[in-house]
Amino acid sequence: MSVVRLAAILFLSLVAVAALTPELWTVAPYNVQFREAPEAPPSRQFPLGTDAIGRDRLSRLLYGTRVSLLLAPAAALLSCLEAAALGAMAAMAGGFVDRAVLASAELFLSLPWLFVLLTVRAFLPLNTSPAASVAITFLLLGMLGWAAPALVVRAAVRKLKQSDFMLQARAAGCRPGQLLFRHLLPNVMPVLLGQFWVAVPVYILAEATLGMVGLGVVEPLPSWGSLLRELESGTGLTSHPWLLAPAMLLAAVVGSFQLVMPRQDYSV
Amino acid sequence: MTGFLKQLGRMAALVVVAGLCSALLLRYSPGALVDERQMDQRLSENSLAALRAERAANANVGANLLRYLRGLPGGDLGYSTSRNAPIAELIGDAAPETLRELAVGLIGGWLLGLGFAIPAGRFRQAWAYEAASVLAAGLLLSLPAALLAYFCFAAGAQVEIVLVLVLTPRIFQFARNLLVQAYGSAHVAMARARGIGEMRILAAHVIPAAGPQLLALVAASASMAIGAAIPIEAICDVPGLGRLAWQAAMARDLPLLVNLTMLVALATTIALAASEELAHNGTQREAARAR
Amino acid sequence: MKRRPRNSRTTERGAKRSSTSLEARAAPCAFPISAALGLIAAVVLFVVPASPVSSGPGGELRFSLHGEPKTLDPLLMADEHEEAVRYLTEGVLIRINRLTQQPEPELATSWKVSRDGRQIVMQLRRGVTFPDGSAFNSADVVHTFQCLLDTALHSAIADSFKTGKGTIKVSAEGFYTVIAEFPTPVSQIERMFDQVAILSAHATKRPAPGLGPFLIAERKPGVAILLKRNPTYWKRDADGKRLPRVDSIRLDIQQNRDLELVRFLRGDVGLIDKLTPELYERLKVEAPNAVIDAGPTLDTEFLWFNMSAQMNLPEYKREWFRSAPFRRAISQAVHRADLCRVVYRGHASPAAGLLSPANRLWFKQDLIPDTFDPAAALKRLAAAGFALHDRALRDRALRDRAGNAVEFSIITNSGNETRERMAVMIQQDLAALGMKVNVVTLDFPSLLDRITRTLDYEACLLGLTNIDPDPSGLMNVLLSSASNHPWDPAEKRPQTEWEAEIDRLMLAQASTADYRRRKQYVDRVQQILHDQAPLIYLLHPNALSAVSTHVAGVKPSAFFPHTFWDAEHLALK
Repeated sequence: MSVVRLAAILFLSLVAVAALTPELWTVAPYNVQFREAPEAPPSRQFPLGTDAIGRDRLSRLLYGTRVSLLLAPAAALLSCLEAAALGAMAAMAGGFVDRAVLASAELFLSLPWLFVLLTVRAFLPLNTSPAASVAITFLLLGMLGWAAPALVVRAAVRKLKQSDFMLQARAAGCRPGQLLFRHLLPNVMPVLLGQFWVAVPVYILAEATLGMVGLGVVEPLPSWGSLLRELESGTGLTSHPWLLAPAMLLAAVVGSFQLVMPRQDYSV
Repeated sequence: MTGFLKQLGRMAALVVVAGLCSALLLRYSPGALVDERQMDQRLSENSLAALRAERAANANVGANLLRYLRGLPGGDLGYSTSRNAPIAELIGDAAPETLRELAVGLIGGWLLGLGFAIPAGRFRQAWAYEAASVLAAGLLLSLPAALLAYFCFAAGAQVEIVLVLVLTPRIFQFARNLLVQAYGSAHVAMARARGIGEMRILAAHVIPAAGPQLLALVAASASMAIGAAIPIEAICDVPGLGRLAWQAAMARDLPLLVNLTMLVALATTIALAASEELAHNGTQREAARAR
Repeated sequence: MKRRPRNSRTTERGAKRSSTSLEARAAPCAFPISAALGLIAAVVLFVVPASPVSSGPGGELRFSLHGEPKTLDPLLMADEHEEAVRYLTEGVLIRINRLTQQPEPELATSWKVSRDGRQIVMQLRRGVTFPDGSAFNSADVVHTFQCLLDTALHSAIADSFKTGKGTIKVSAEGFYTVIAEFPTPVSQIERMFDQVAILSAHATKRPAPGLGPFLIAERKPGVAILLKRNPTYWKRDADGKRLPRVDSIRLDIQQNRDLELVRFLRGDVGLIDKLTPELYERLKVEAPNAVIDAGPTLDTEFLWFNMSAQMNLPEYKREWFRSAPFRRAISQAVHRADLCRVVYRGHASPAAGLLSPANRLWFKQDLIPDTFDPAAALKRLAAAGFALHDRALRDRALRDRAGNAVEFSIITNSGNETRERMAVMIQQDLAALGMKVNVVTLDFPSLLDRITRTLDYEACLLGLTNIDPDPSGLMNVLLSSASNHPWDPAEKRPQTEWEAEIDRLMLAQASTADYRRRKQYVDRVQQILHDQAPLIYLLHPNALSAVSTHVAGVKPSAFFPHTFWDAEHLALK
């Protein structure tokens, strides 16, 4: 196993352990406000300082890791599965089905889905728990994010349909299901993996943006998205470089997952 | 000719459906029937009632649609209640800014994304490059657009660079995996074994093999760019269509948002149709060459 | 047909080499491609024309509006961005000096108010001309009020002149005398004319060039509004020189406050009229001489509970929200000093009631904010039948008589960081009482929908921007029948005795011109609001601004506009 992969696995394990046992690394839970020390710089008590209302940033980062690492990949997986199913179905079936899926994708890419999210928020009871609220947000993001990757999957499957190995498989008597699952989908894995690894940080950031219209994670529960929102005000960065910690951690975690994935699994 | 007309008809139908769907989405979303001006404590009950009635009239999807269709042949796209101006004028003022931004963003994003993806696809064993490019892409994906905008602004760079920085990692991630697959295919190994140079392998074997998917990615990246432009323009105060759309959404301005949605639908459908056509031509050429 | 290899010599050479050495030789090839592509990208990015560069100060004062004015019609201008443009481009009969809060002559050189407070006679300034060359006289004032009071024009400014008993009547007596008659007595009648822009009777459309120090020269939608000096502006400085001093003002449309700050530090922008507390502290480090804290404004932040009969809530929750001891206990449990110190960085003061101490004429001086006292709050709740149950060490829940755990949600508008932080701090303060509070942030239209139309909410945290110090401006908030009555909009009749009393007192103060009597009524209203706490007042924010050292003549005020209320006297060094 390469050094890089080993390092990535080690890093991810450390992150997982830290996220699951935050009480070992921090002085207080994520919601406790140390009002005498707002915007405090890093110190022994607060390794990443405190936020604007005195909450331990490290504690919020570790708790937020749990939320985001669980939900963002789930949402990304959902959108990839939808993309795989619809894109492959469109390409395999052709004709009316293909046109219908293509038209739906174009429609999905054009519509202002923000209003769906706002409407869902309007229907949710105001006392919905923070965990349920953020899960619903990520679920919606996952359900709505299939269109762009589905187009790429469709193009890939259409190309692969004409390839020699597919002709051979058909000639050998493979059923459509076998053709799809045994031959086509493994070959579109590169596209889907690309989409997956783009979608994870994009959905985390989207959750942050949605927080601006009240659709993000509910206080006091932290998430990477809500922590990244603090970065939007760039004026504080030169004097508070530790604010970049959530972005660095997110980049490192997403990058590490990609480095851990064996490349041979999806290369032809 | 018939095919072309059918395609045109399909595009027109899609644009209209997109407009209707966005009108319904907005109409039944919370806040569609209220006006911020209602919070002005100086307004009398009569004025408040008039505001509410005006709001309800503007939110009537059917009436708006009829009014719109009547005005469309004359170039009248309706009137924006939130901006107090004809919509055609607003779009005319904002469109050049957005088009410029999209052009720069897409060209820059593709050049950089593909530029970094090619070595990543070619040298799968170059772990240092692999790690660095993956982490860099991950970092760019993890930084909020507002922060990228701030850095660009503080450095005196143009705001279009934000869109380039937003698109590059996405294009890189997709393109890298496609190129890895293409480089890993048997005919490329055969070409290399026959001593064919790398430039020729890239141009004649790898890019064509990944071509249809890359073209589909071009269309998808166009819609990604349009989607990314909206928050970037809203954050960076760029007076383009994206900011107009964001403000229309926040103000629940139905006529303006419907027009903008239809514009986005038109752009998306044209981009997709173009990429389909290019992909189809590419496939046909490949098949002819194989024969 | 047998196919020949394209290049047999290459094939022979290639066949002799191992794949590793091939890769090694091929190694440089892919990198030049990337380098070339990157270079092309860089050329594209930097050669493409940039946005137009600013022309710099040199006679032009630049500052930002945080939103686009929706209209430039001076009779319809209502929000802050529109008011800023109106302030700079339009003339008024009487102006309130933002520093002294006293009325000063502008287009009216003098005025006389009748004893019953129903009539004001104003003498107009002579020798003033509109930019179109027409002379300003009483016909323009009459025309202005005719347009303003047009029933088809639903203007906030016009509504200030309307009461239940009729509207103002304005008539001319000669060219330079105007008489305005009100249907009911109005205290400090002259103050009302500060917001009415005088239009030319000869103008065929609106907006038209007005009598202010600047004229609208250019409007680039979404980008900027350029104002140029009005060549016919009547005012002169103490040396007899024509005003304004700057040649032009450029109002950039800039919603992003961080980018505005960068531009201020770079010198692109001369002043920032309204700073958030966070940006104020950041700027204080970089440019300590530039920041100004002008003291408390008239604005207030408050929390209220939904007491509407239409609310779709369980009966036990209705009982909580309608209970004055419950509301007072919450008021005592909220740490106002912490909100001021932590969220506003010390640039706010705890609020005792609706009116700010900055409102020297009307604020009830002996009214003090509820002090932070959770023990007293718990006692009050206990007296009202609530009890704290310790189910487990970490699970303290306050319960009512029926055993229902006290849990409710507070909604506030998303995107407003100070309000979001306040809500989270209040959440922790109330957790100490055993209350479970859910903070829900909503975009403004959704929030507005809930608090005005569907009434589907439990508690709301919001703020009030008070433009007018006069309590009559709060009629549409405090009257129980008003649509903007926060806790129970548009009541058919007052649900409680204290609401009925507030109604009586507000109507009484609006029907007399005697300041002392009005003050008594308004003091009583403030006391009732404090005792009953239908609105739990939290704090009054300070007016925070920034002025570049290149700009001279700024006299900062706690009242809007904070820095450019005296724009004709501003100069660039």
